[in-house]
Amino acid sequence: MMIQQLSANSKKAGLINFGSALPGLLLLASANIKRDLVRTGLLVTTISLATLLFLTALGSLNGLQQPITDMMKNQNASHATFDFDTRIYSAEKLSSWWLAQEEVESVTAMLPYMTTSSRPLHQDKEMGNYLKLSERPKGMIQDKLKFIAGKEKDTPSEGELWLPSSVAFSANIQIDDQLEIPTEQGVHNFIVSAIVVDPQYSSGFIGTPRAWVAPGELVSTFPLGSLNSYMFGVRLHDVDKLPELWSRFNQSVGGGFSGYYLSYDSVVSSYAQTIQLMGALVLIFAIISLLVALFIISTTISGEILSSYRTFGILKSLGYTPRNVVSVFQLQFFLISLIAIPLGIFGAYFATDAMIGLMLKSIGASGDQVGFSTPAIITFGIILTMVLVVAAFVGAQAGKIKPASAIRYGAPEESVSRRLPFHIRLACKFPLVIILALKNLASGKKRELFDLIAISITAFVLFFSINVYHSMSEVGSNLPFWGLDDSDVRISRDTSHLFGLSYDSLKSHLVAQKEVKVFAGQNSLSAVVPATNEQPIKNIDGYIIDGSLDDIGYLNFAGRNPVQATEISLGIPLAKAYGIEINDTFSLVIKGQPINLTVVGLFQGTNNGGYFYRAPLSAIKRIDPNLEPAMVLVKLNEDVNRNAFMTELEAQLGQAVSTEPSEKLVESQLNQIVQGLGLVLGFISTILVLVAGVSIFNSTSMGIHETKRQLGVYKALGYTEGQIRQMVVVKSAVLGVFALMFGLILFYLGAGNVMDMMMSSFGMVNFPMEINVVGSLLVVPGILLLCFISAWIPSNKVAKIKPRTLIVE
Amino acid sequence: MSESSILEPIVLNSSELGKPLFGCKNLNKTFASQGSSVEVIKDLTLDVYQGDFTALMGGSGSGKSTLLYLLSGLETITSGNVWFENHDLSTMSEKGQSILRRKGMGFVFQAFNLVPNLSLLENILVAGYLGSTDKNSVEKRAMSILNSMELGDLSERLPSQVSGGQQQRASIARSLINLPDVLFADEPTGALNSSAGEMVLDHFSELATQGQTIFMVTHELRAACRGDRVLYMKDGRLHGEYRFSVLEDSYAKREISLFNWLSAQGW
Repeated sequence: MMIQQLSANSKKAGLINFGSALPGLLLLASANIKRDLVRTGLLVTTISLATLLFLTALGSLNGLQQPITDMMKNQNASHATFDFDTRIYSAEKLSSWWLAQEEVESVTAMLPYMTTSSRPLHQDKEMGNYLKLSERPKGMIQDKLKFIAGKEKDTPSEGELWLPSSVAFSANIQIDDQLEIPTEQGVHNFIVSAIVVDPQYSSGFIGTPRAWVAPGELVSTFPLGSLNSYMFGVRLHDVDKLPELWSRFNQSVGGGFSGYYLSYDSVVSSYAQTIQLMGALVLIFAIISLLVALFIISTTISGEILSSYRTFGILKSLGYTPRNVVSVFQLQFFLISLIAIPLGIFGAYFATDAMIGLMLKSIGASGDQVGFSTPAIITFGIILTMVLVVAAFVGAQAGKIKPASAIRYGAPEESVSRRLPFHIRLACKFPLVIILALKNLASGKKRELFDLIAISITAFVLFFSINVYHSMSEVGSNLPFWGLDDSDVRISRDTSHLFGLSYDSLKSHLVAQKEVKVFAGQNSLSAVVPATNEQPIKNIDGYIIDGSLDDIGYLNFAGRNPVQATEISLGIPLAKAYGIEINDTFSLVIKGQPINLTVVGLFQGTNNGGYFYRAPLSAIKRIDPNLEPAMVLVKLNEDVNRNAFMTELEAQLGQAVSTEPSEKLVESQLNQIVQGLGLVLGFISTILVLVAGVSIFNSTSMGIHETKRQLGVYKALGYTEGQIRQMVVVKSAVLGVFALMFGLILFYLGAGNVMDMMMSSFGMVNFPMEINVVGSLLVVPGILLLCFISAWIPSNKVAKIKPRTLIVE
Repeated sequence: MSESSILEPIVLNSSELGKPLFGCKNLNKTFASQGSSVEVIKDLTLDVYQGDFTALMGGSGSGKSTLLYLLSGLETITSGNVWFENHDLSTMSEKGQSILRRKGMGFVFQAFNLVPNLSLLENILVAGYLGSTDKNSVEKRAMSILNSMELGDLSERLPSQVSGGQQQRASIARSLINLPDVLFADEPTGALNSSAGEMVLDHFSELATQGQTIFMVTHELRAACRGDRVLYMKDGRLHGEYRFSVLEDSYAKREISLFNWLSAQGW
């Protein structure tokens, strides 16, 4: 009927032009769509998934940048925050100096704070962070807080604590939970009454986070003599002026500010680095899955050509031009895309919202706050264009159909002329269906190649996801590669008391412990790197170590650990930024005094984004002879029970020391990344498994459709339906085996590079991949099962193949 | 087979019928599609005898190919019975029919239907391995049949690398590998030129001489003349049967008498 209508059209028009052919072409396109609704459904699913993944990546990336700068602006955040000791600096003088600068817009009040001497307890469990308890003055308009949970008020009430979101989320603290903070007066309990976005401290990557207490609370809680710490914030008219002001400020205080300085850039990058990591992951895999989807679309169109071969031959004989024939596919996929792309956009709306909500959880933002419509329109345009281009490109094959052979045979003339690598005689040694499946695979077409690519990528992503997640969640077993020491226990001395345990006494005590293999003292010490021609003056952090860095397990990417009083090792990003290489001299200012040290090693580590140094205590003793490490890193002998050792030590030394497992520090910092990464990798893996499944399903059903004559021959020869289905499934399973091998090779060669690239902003240039053997092994049956199911279900079409298809009338 | 042998008188054995090998009783087949239905085979009863070379003729749409596929179990029946030896195909499972086809039936199609990615030898082995556990003897037999079809030198060629006639002979070789009880052929010369078609028909004649039961659908007079009897179908029914006599001892005589008979049937 359809052909008759077209024939009538063609008689009127002679050689048919596009305008007159359009109704006929629309008729053909819609007939193609309706002919196999399952296949059409698969196409819709494929394009939808590609749209979903691509738009989620695009939407997330688009939505991730603006909220951080918006947050800093909306909350009137300080561009620079300073912590200092009133025994060194006069609060009044510092405040006056900043207020006197014309670039300064406002300065906060001087905020007294107290760093907890040990980690607070939540539900009898030690939290991951120490806290700076700071009094929140009334009417504070700079560094405004955003309330994520709890009642919004001007200040906390007595006994209440406002926690920054990152701390609350990582420790799973809820409103009205109680925190126990050990003080001189015994355990002091605070009730968490609000979870807030505190602009500088909600990323979870800024040193010790700040928690707010009621005005006057610290005086009643802690001994007055210990309240020497203050902080204040400065907001500028133009944040770009900050480095210049910071340099001037350092000169004004005699060569180097010895307190803690937190810049706007550091705050923004502390949020952005996590987001960029996850955003980059999503985008990379979105592009990959978009390509996979396009492969599937192209093979589907090829299949359509084969299944409509005779029809197109007839159309050409009626005078339809090759362009008309190509238009059928473009119309068909245009109509399918009109359904599929909006479906994908609909799904992406929620996925983007969830993704951004997760990534920006700590600043209380969600996808609602970012523009979704622009990425959605861009995605719609990109996907539709690519689908139409692929349809035109692949559909051009239909334009080349030779009408005579198409009408006569309903299929292209045999084109197999390639000699295959093995003979069916192998069936003497192996089951015949396996040999036939391998023969079919070896003589495969582009579709098998695309399947192989899709499954290989899926296998790679699964290997990648499982092992990257494992590496980051098991960071405790690999601390030296993350820039930390290889100790088992960290012992913190209580340095807030004049008559507390001295460092020498603690050393003597540890020497006597038979469980202790080796130990080293360690102290954090910030320093200032003077400005160079390329780099502004910069605050960096570092470790001062008393003892052998080698013995305690510090590793270097290049060079060695510092030993002499004139030596230092640097984080790789820091060395790169200042163009420093091994054996160069590095100048820095510590406690206001300049010092030149020779760089003997470069290391990687997440501390302060790699802007970090390590130096022996002897190097700093030249400046401050009285400096004593506040922490001792202890490596225990084998077979020593760590928990028992920690309990015993605390029992022996009382509250003069606190102990913790060494991995706890980095685990608390990485907790948020690991959670987010898990979700992102899980999302990507799920989508790619779906895409691969749809790809195999689609190509299997297309393959059966295209080779139905061949399968009909097998049936006529006496092959059972089960045997033919086995052939189909074995072929898919063999593809799965090859894909696993390629996926594994890809993982082996590429995963490290991908992670190195993405983690470089964290200070990690060589990602310590920790292989999860069990998880990786599970990928093997997982992929094979995916191949099996995705091929087995459509292989039931074999039952419908009737040898009648062999009849040529 | 040489050209001269085609002209030699053939030995006819149609006076002695063998025992029935397969057949059908009150067979009906209706194709239904989108509310309409077409009755292709109507209440058809037929016996095919062992060792007989039967040619089935009829006009387009008469149902001859459908009957071939119904008799071989490749098409499901609507009603009636199809039997093969002691088996009732009408009630047999699809798997059972597959197993029966492996050893009992061989097929030759108009479009050759060789598996394109297998060599000629492999196309034969793919059927032979199914029917025998002794794979070495299957291979020897396959080569022997290929040689007898004058395809020995081409055994490792792919179907696309040989001519249509050679493909059809390979197809015949494949159909014979399991020593089938019957060879079903559907328009075996339909896609071949005259000389290639003659060569294929010579092979059929030789097989028939050796006692091979053959059931062939054809619309060509020259092909039907190779048979022992000719069945003529019209509108889904068996309209007539013609059995060649010993007097018709050349193809030329057969063609004339068959033409006359078919004309009388309304061909």
